Amino acid sequence: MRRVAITGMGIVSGLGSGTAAHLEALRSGRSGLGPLTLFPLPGMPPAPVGEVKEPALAERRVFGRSAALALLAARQALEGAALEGHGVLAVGTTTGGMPESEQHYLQHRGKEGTADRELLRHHPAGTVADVLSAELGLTAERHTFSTACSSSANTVGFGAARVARGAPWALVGGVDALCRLTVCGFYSLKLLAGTPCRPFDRNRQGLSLGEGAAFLLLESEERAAARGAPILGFVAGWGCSADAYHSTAPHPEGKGALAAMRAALADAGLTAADVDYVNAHGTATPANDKAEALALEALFGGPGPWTSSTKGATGHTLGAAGAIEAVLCALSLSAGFAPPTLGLVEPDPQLRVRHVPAGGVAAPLRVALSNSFGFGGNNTALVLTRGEA
Amino acid sequence: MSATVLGLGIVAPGAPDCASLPAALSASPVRPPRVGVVPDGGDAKVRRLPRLERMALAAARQALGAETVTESMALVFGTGYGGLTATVDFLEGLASRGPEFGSPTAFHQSVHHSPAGQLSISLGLRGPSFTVTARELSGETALQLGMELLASGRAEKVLVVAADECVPALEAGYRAFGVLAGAEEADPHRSLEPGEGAAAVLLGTGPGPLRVESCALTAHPCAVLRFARAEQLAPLLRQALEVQGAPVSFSLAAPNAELHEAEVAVLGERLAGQAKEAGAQHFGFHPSAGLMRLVAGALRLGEQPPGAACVLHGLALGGGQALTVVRRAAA
Repeated sequence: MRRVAITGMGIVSGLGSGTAAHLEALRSGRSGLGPLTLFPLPGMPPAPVGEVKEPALAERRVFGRSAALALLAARQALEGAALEGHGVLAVGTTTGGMPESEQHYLQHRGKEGTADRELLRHHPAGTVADVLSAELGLTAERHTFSTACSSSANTVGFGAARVARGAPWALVGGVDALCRLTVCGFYSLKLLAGTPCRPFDRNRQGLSLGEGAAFLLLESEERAAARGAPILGFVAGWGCSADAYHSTAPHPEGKGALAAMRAALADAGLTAADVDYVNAHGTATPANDKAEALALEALFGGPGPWTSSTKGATGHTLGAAGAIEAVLCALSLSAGFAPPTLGLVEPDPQLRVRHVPAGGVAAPLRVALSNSFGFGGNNTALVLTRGEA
Repeated sequence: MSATVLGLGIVAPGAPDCASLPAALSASPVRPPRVGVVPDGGDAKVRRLPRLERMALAAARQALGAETVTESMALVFGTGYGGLTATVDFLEGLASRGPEFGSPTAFHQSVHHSPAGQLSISLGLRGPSFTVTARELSGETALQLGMELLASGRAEKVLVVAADECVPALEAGYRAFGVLAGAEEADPHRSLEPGEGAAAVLLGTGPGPLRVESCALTAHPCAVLRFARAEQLAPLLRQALEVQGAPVSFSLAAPNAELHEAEVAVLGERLAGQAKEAGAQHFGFHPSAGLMRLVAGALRLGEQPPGAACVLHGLALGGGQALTVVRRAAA
């Protein structure tokens, strides 16, 4: 794939709002995990989450929490940009308007509940894109990817591929808000940690959920240069695969993950030896981290480049994770700083991964590989390169 | 950007496969509201799958036929609502027993990508795998992504599948907004009749007797529970007027009288005397209906002379619109 320029980025998560807040959090090792305050879950043991505490989310009363988060990040990404021509809008999400529609169900158990019908208005996952389109005045094609936890990684790859094939611009990203369905769902699968998650740690007990949104504005390098837009990084490669193995568990040897990473590097015209930093999927579930470590070891033929999981800081933001981590990769590349894995205290000795040490590593970074894997055995890898590379 | 149609599959109300579809369509407008029999191929494992996944798998197997599955075959699944039965089951566990008692099986089956994951497992698909959702254009959006994957060389073949199910909670939602067809409070001019079903199209490159010539998507900024206005629909619909062929048939998307008037206002003269393909009235208003209409149109094209074309209009709440052209190759 011809590399595609990132000319705008927006991000909101439990770490705060905006790229500056996130870079500061990565550098300082600040965690966005804390108690869940959005809704009560009586009888359930507490589990820390990455909850967004932004006053600007007042818009959620109108659009639902997911669309409000998405708007916040998308507006940041578009700041100062002039969108002309027939572009592409691609949103990744798993739950869409579920935070509101589940309230309707719990009150009315599948009946009309007409007095509370507004809670249903944004239920379909595709409505997030509809709200962005309406509020931002976009006549772009709308696409919504819902490939579980790789959803927004796929929007980044898809948008870049469309720009590489001639689309003037693509606004891509993802969002997921915390809701009962996902918190109780991961609890039911016994994948939810009772303490802040510990990716790749020998004592890891499962994941911590988070919420958030991130969007990237993608344009061809020529178009960005012509309008004098800052180039914040490049999307250079996109690779995807399916495990065809299990509904919720990854292939135990990480075969699908390896195939996706190889495809992304091939798409970028790069080799494993070119990679300086890996932003791992790193959910902190025993099965994911083991399978991903095996895939990384097979790709790199050993411990490989600096690797970390930023989910220790943000929590697992599900459909938003791929875009959030793409933004964090672009920030890491431009800052020359590989962030550490928060929660990693005792690395699992069975996992041959070159972990970024506590405090992070300051180093010139040119190429980052970002992994996102989802339920149903869906694997996506992105290759991002530094802006001035 | 075009693609060759290598296989077709459908599971519709009254039609468990392509062979039985013409008879089911000819019985319209007295069509069964729901899918009855879902073929399982005698596979006990399939019988245990959720209904949505069974419908998707049955349609996919028809479209695949004897085609060999390789890692260069991609899967694109389109759905508007995903596993609604599972979603309701999971939430019912929370409502009736408490937050600790959600069903783990229902949880993972509620994920929109769950059917695609099951298709990958059942059919051995290890190539790129996507689920897209776009309100009532989920089928068309899946089709367009499939064509994009072929055009960009990311796949040599693409299995495009779309499926949605109608459950009582969804009908209750339509009723809450006063748009469920037949409900006492609904305005007949604007009401919607939900449907369900699954369709599949196997796409490839190279020559073939049937091609998807184009699939254009547009969107207008619009409130989430409204359709684009008639004047916004017109520019894309006018492109349908330019489609050449002998004959050209049309499949209209309008789910109610108000929108039908908007379609006819643009296509009126062209529609006169032309065959009308299965439209929204045959499959109901649901996110996968566009791909089901495409399968119906493609099957009919097989009986048409070379060069014949079928133009399919698509409409979604929230302002989305699609125009797809399928053509029987010239001799």
